[in-house]
Amino acid sequence: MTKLKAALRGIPVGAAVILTVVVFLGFFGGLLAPYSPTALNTPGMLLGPFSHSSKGLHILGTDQLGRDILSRICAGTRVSLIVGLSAVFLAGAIGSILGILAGYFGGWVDTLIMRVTDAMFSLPFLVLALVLAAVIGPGFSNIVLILGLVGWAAYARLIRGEVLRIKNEQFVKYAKIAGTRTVVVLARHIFPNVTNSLIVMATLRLGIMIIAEASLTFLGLGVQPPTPAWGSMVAEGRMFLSTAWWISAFPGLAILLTVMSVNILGDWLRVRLDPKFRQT
Amino acid sequence: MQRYLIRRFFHAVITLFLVSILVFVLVRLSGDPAFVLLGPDAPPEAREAFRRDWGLDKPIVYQYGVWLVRGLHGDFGESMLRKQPALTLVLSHLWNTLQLVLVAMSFSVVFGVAIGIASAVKPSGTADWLGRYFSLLGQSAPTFWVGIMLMLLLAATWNLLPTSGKSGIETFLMPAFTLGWFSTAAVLRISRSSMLDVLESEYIKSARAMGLPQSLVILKYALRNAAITVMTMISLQFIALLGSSVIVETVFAWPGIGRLGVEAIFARDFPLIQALTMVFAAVFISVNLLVDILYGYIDPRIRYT
Amino acid sequence: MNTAQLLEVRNLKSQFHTRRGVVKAVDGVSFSVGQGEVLGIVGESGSGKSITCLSILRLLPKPAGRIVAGEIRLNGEDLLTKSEAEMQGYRGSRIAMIPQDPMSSLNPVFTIGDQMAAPLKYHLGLVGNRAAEKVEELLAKVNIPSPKQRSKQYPHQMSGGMRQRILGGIGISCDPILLIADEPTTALDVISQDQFIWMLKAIQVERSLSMIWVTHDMSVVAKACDRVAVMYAGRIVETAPVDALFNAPAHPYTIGLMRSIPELSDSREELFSIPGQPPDLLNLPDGCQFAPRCDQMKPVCLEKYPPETILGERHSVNCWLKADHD
Repeated sequence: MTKLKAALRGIPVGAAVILTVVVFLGFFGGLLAPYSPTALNTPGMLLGPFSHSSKGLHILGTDQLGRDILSRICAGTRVSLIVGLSAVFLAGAIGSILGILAGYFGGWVDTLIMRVTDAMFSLPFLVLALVLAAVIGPGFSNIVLILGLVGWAAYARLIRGEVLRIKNEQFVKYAKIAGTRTVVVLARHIFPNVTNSLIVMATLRLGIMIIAEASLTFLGLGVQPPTPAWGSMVAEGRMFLSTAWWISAFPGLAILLTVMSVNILGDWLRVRLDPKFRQT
Repeated sequence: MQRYLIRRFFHAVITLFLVSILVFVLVRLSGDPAFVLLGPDAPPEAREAFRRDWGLDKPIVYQYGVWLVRGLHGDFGESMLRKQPALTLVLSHLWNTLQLVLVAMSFSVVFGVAIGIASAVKPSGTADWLGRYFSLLGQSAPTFWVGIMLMLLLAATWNLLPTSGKSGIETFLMPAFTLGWFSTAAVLRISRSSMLDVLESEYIKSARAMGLPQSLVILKYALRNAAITVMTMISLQFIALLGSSVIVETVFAWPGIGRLGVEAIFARDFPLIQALTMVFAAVFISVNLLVDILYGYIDPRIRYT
Repeated sequence: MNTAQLLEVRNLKSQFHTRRGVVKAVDGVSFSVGQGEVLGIVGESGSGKSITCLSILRLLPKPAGRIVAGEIRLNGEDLLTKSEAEMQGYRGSRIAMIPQDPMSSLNPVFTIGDQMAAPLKYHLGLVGNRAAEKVEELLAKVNIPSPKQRSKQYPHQMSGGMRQRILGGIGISCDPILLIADEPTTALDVISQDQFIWMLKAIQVERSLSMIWVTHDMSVVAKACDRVAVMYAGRIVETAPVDALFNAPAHPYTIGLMRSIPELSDSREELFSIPGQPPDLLNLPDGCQFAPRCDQMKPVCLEKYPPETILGERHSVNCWLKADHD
């Protein structure tokens, strides 16, 4: 118990609570929602927050098809979280592998990978994602793939730097002298030492991925209806802005709170895991 | 310095060339414009005719060759969607976007650098606090939502500003603010951390030991040293702003290349997509080149190596 | 001993307030520097030598560093009572410092000429051509060839030795009355070290400049200094004229330092080093700080700090072994 308390020292409580709620909703959202997120109820459409319909109290109001906003937000949590986490995982995996290869082997491998990374950095994230979305098509798993393919560059650069630093340490040299096979050196010595930086970078980038997914969905190139997603909810609400502002406002607020919590916790984690980690 | 620049320029041209090939291939993989533009109910012969008209039935390498040659003469074909010459269409829209981006960028650079430096010089002061919260909000709020909320407040509710389109100065305000919002946070953070690093350095300590006044030390020396990192970030932000313009232009119905691009992609308008990408690539490659030149000017270590 | 000294430091105490406690970096240090005299301050890393110099200039890193006691009198005036604005006027013009690391102490994005001209402008009011001339003059004085071209170059285009000499030039540029050199030769190779020491010595003699030379290298002391103060764990344990220090060191620590200098004629197989480690400045023991490592330690050494004992002409030591000498 005391070990857990020590590990959680200084944690920003507000953010942690919000994030826990979000994750919880992500798992159980569909079940916990007061009403069905997809059932239509046209007579009860466009009702403001705290109003009643035939079904009961709608804390956050209803949308243009009479669906309860709160329930839809709960259901949408799953999309944002799963896509966000998966995308970060994929981008992190691709980036780490490329970064390790570039850092460890140097030479033309390094030059090649770094050139590609530089090219990726000079292109806007969203535009690349858009183009890929046009080619591969929209949809849940496609979005994860796209975001992963577009977002690995930052990881590659970071991991490469770490590997360059580590490979000159004594224990790596001893391993090589002892004749350890390269793959084993990479897996047992190099990789475990980059995980810290990797985790920190991942938490910093999770927010970006969540927003990216929401943006693509907003444009219509992400998760498709009828799957409830925060981005498409905001898009649908645009038409009703002057009459039913809550349709766009609340889902966006959900995104804001989630990403903010992720960022705050990410900062805390960064300081805890490595106080010398410099933020750029 | 000259060799440095020539190398960079050469790089740029090659990159542009590679990008063109990549785009050409990708775009053709994305779908059939005949299908999208004529609709799924159109008879197959109509689609065949469409393809023949647009030269889509020839082998891909041939198509690329033709396109490349014509492109070098400035002819990027006609937009399938709008039936106008693709290049002119793109360039006119580009100008609108550039205007918006420049306004947004000025806002974010001025604000971001000022607060960033102020908060580095006086940690735990008002500037620092303001900077910290602003930067957190800036990073966490999705651009499209910020735009919509602004529209809600300033246009729909209080009727202060027009909701969409581009006409007078007032139409610039909301889109530019929305666009610049996210990037202010990034500029702020990098100015602050870069300045903090520089203020800790040995040469600044030596300057103090020489008895040089604090205001000189900060404004002339430290700023110049910090400028290098800040400039890189600003150039990255320019690219990011161009990217975010897609969202902002959609929200505010701004006639720029972002919105044009989204339309083109939905319609699989090949010539337009290609023209857009080439122009886009040319723009950011030039920006990178410009920054490299500025770099060389500010950091003498690059000039003389 | 009673002739007016240029610099008199009495019972200086400088501390760092950190999260883990108070670090007593300088714990009651007294010394003086006469007109035209070169005082060496010798000690290991962490002995407090650099902090002493920073304290004289009142440049301790804020907010953790603080001068909590003592007097620092320059020509009779106590520097600790001056305002920050007045101190700024003193720094670089009346008291100048030559920093330790030539690699990082010069600003990489400004030319040498620019950097040298800055104090000239602010302390002497020299601008334009007159400043440029003075810069070339200074560069020549510190043996930099082709001063005109060099002044337009950037630090990274020069060797470490040249950069250190330039830092020396900046130090003397406004004709200070006291020059503090904080381990200026540590980062240099042996040949550059020698060049630098002799160059600075020549200037010092020529101008009868008073200097404090901080170092951990006894050979520098032998070449450059008139008197020496030996510091350990934030205090001065022995002060002596150079000859007396080398011929008749009194404090066990000083004796240990002398023994650690390898000599060519030495037939010993191993290099000598003083056993043990310097104390933790967060938890200084009572009594003499060197006692745990001293091979002649007595019980009283662990209980009380030894008083100052005068051994001879300007030679004093703080050690219980010599306390009955008086």
